[in-house]
Amino acid sequence: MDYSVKEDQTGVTIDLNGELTVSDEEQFRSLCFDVTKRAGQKCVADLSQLSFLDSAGLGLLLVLKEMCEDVDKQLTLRVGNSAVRDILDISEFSSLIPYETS
Amino acid sequence: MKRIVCIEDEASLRRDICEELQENGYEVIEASDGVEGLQLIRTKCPDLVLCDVRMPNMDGFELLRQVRESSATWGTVPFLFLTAYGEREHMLKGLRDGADDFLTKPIDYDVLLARIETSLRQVHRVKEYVKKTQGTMQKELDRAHIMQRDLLPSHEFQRAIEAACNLKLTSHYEPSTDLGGDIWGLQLISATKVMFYLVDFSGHGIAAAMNTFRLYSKIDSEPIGDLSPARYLERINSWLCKQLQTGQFATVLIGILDREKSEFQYAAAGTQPPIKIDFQDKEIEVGDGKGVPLGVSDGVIYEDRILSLKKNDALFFYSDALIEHGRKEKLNLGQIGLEAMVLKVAGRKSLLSVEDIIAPFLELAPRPLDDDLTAVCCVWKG
Repeated sequence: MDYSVKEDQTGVTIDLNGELTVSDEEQFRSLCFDVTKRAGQKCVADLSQLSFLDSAGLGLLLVLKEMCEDVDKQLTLRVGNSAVRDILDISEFSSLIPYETS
Repeated sequence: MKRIVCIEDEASLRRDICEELQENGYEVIEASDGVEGLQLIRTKCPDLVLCDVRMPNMDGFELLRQVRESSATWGTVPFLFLTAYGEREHMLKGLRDGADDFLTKPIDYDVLLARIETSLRQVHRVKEYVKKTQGTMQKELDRAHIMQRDLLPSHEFQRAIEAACNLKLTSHYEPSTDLGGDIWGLQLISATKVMFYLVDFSGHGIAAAMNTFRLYSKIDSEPIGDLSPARYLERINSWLCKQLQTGQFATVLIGILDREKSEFQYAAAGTQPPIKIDFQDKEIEVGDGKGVPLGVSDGVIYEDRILSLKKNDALFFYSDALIEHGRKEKLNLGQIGLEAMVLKVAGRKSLLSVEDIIAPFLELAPRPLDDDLTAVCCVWKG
């Protein structure tokens, strides 16, 4: 997994690249921690450039959601036509973490 | 017996090398180019690779690169290059790229055997050291593996269910090297109803395995009774939400084969869709695996779905390893590939076992598996 974090007045956007899997757990959890320290009410996880997500990766998105909620941030997912859309849809992820509507 | 893959495009030289190695007690598998060689390394997990540099289709350098890039166990296999005399640059490039040794042609067989022994001895020394230092932990893991396997329906129990419900049941369970989170099971509800479930906990390792024990006990101690699969999933979900840490969840398929109603009624929580194989019309029907995984959100409503059955139809259930494994090597089937594989089987007169369905996967899958594989097939004989 590669990532970059952008910040503006409304909140923070995490661009995720490559694969989010069980081997990214440590790095992703420290990224979550970093995000909770940033300003703003919103957090967008941009998954549109992600090529694969395994079950542990799905779990990590739920960890991010909970950590955001703990600091009153609202997490949304930017899914686009990403390769991981099917994986998210099987688990009806949009009912757990809202997809960005724009 | 130590296994060596010998990759050399020149047939007579390859034959000579193989004979020499076999005479000295090695099992030898041969390949004539890099593509064939890579396939053998992935599937046969040899103890050592002996490889020519210049070859058609894929040369030795490219093969070595692909082997060393793999995170699987075979990615660390001792690799010896055969280079033509005087090709110093080849020799240096090979060693820099991750080869362990090289030999120049024409081959001095005494030197070849000595070099092979040296490489294998080094590996053996490291393995023994690791075994000694991790021995206790490995023994514990092995014991846990056996306990987890004991959760699966025994051979005798499967035969009893077959006899009671006029079914033919076969299954394939292949754990990855680590402990994993797959489990499947059966419950006889009445003379006309049998319940199946297949569960895959998120992540891998000890945590996922411990969760399989938790869920097994819950299902075993509180059977489905008169509930529909969806209502039963809701009950289990509610309980699991209190048990699991954030980020842990279970994808589940649970369903009842009802002989009176000639149907399979099921509910799904983010799992692979069940597939019905119709041998009479030579077609398949793919169910729906959508649903929020268990243990994530309390109060989720699940849906009862139906696959109608007739005599001699088969039901096929499987974990996601079947579609995802081999992704790094671009050998994964994907859902479309899986359905094509199952459809091929529907063209036959009848089914012998689950292995008939997944044989093409088993043949090509790189070993060891990076996730547990569970596949279950149930033929309804009427």
